[in-house]
Amino acid sequence: MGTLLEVRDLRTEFNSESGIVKAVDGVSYDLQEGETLGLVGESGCGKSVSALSLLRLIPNPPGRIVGGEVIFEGQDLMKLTERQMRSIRGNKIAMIFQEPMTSLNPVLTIGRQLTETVELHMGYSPEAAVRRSVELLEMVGIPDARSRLSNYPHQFSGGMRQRVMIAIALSCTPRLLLADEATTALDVTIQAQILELIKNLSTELGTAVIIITHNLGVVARYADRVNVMYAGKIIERGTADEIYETPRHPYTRGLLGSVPRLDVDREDRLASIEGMPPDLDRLPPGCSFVPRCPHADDHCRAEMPPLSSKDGTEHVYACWKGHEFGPLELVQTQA
Amino acid sequence: MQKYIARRVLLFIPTLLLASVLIFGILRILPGDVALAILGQEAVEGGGGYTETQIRELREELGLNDPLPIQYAKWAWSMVNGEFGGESIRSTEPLSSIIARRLPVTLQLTVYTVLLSIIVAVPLGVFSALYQDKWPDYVLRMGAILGQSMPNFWIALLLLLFMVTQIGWSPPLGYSNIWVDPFHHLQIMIWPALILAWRFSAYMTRITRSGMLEVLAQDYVRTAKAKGLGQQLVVRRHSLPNVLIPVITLGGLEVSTLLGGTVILENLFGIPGLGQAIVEAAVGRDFPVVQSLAMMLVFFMLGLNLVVDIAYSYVDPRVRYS
Repeated sequence: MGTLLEVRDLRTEFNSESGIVKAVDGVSYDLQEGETLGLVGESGCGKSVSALSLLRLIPNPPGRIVGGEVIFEGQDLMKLTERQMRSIRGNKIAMIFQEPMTSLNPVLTIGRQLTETVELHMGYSPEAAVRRSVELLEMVGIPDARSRLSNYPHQFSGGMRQRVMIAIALSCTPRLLLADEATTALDVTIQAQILELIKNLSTELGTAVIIITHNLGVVARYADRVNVMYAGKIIERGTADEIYETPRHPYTRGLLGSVPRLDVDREDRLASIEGMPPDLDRLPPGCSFVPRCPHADDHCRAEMPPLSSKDGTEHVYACWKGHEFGPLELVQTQA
Repeated sequence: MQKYIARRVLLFIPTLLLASVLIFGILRILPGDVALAILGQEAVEGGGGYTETQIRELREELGLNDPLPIQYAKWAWSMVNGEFGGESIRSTEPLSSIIARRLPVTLQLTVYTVLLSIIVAVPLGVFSALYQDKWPDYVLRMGAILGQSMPNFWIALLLLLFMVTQIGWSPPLGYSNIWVDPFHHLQIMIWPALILAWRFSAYMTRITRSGMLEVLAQDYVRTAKAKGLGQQLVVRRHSLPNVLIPVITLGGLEVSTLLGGTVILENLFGIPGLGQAIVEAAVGRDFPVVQSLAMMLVFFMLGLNLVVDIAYSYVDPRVRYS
């Protein structure tokens, strides 16, 4: 399998009243065909913005992509014309959003919202588009698909709407699916169903998936590799197992320590990360995590550590002291 | 839907009752006596005088000596039995014929204004929103604020003055029915329609613009863009129908203000509509005519609100009346 996507030094900024906010600050990663990648971090760490940047959907003003390359199937998306970009959106790269209640247009039927994508990208006739839409709704498990085409979004539940969103996203068999907090707004039981659905369909269609979430449980179960983001940068990357067994960055360790677990007995209080995420327009000169890090010293305050590893493995981390940390004691490896 | 409409029409009744009492009451409070006015005019024309007895007899004949509740009841009954309030005291023309002659003219003026405004305001509002805070937006917003701040009658007077003094042209005095002489009809109707439309479209442009800005920030518009749809489809298919919901509601309410404008402009431009008739009748204390025509305007507004509500259910699938 080849490389599907290479992101190189992607930078996205927003103008705000207090200055320029570097929401995505030099993010680089790659993605293999058919791979599932997790992008994890707190709210406001830049994970959603980095996904929207791939599709060049950053609202401008106030935002803009100021640098970097996004090489997708050999071409740099940042260099395409808007017209070429449109032929990729919804066709080769599709996206599912966080809010199923507001992401569908309230005044258009589900059918119209499904058919327009295949009509646009695959040149289907209206009749063929309707047939394809019925197939898609059946594929995502919506019963009585044909008659539901004439329904409006408010006649569907949240989980059903997210299924419709998935059907729309997968309608042109994309090479890459961006799932931005796709299950966050749903009930826990529905979350699992939707994630299973995404997993099964992406495997079936050979679609690579980037799961963007703050839910480490989701990532543990569904992602092959994980990128952890903090303050606009990737601060740790490894396979899901590596990240869960031996997190090297104090932030990742803090995140994992703050997840309540049912498979480990514990009597102490749940650990939490002290402090708040930093203002992205006022970052300290060294490592962004310094103000909240119990291990920080003068070196950390002076210089941002590069994303690397001591022993040259693929498990990389942006911490001067990362190699000193051992396996996280609380964590028992999951199957 | 039929049930909903029927219920709404039933609710017209209390509103109409209240409005009729108000209109009737206000007219009785006004100073001035129609019997005196009629006799005085006859006396001037005939060159003679008139006597107390004549006044008493005329008042008796016109039913002005009845107690007010009886006068009201007579009028109210004649509104519902198809006589529309009887006849003019001055010209003795039946009101049914006055309304049949005058109402279409006012309706036409209103329709021209609303159509002109929609044709102009919706595209401009969308355009303004798409160029938010760039110079086309500023220019359009300035024009809209101007249109909203200048009173109709003032613009009308300036326009008439300008046309008469500078280009030596004034709108024709006589009115023609559109089916008889469309060109002549438009010659007289176009100016008041344009003036009314400036104000109305200024308002509509502003609400379209703000509605559009709100819709463009919605998640479903982002979804539409993420599907790869072009700007045109994003605006026309995904945004505009959502913008129309507030535009229809607010625009429908604003038509009541528009009716106030037609009353004034009909008089300035000599257009024989309801507005002109009401003013003429009010000056001559022609109670039956003022009462009945004012009731027609009330009825018109109620009907318009109902139409707006029904239109709503077509634009917004979430609203289905039962």
